[in-house]
Amino acid sequence: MRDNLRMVLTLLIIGTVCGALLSLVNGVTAPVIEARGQAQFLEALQRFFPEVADSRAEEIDGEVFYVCYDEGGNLLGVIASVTAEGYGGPIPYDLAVDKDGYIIGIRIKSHSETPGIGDVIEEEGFQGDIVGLNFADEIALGTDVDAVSGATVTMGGMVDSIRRVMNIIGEKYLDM
Amino acid sequence: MATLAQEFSKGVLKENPIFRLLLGMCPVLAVTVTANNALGMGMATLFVLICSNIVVSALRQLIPARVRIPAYILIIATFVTIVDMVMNAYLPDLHAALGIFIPLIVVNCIILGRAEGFARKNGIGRSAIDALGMGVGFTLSLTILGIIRELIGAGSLFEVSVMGAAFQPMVLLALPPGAFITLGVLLGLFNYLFKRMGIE
Repeated sequence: MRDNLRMVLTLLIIGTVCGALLSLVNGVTAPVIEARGQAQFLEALQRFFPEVADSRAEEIDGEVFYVCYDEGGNLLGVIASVTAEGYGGPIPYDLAVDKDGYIIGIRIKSHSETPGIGDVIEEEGFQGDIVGLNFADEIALGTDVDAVSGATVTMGGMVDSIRRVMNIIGEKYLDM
Repeated sequence: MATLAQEFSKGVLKENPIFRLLLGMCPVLAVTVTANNALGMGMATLFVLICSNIVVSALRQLIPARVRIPAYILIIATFVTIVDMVMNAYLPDLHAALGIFIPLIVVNCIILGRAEGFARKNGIGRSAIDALGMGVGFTLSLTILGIIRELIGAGSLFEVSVMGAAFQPMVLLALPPGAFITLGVLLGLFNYLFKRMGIE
């Protein structure tokens, strides 16, 4: 009985001390992490829409759409913070679309695609194909986006995701 | 009884966790794509190893034998979570590159192995030296793998391009099979060298 009590108390004390230590460290690091996320978002906002004065975040099925306005309250466009399905796992990325339905920027946040093959999505060629496309375009591999041999799954996942996001943005925010 | 210098050097050479004991192979294969990642992973493990060995050694009289494993896991998990949070806050790029392998340090068998096999039976100073040796051995081994794989697989070294524009990187070495191939070749090489040096 005394042994059992001692075991329980030992684990209880260790657990309590560990928990207290972790909450202490978290108190220091959490604001730093939060501030960095905020700064990165503001930077993206400034890059895609330099004249942005106000933005509103809306969540649709777990994905966030930032609707951006200028000083006069006119719609500038939408930045979608979304995720595509790649070959090596999810690919979170930002897609910026202006008020006329043109893609003005894409930023891959992270990916685990095959080095030298699937990582073409980070390169100028693919991103250059994407930027400038309109809501009315087909947005499909082989027509307005060049396919790269070996990277079919990666690029297909990206292009499908972009088409889907464009549909949401077009219908919800741009009346297209 | 071994001297402190022997306590340190055994982790680097005779009982090197990677090339001699073949412990903790998961991060070895997964994060050695670049030298930077390998070094970062090694340092994170080194930190956890030293902290957990010191605490386990300090509490060795107080923890009842029957609950020692859950107690060690609690202690190790705490230090790993601290590393995870601090790295996320101050080294975000490295944190993003290492990803899930940071929390997985909790189940790295080198750390639990040193707690159970060494720190539990030895004083604080000796346990810290043991952890330092093992951690340095682990970090060195990881970095060697990382350097080879990055040099051949991407033509760079610590993210600085060194092989010139004409170099055609052999991507295979940056992929999972490259980890096994590199590790196998190095294991053979080190076995040969250790045999020549008379270390069995």
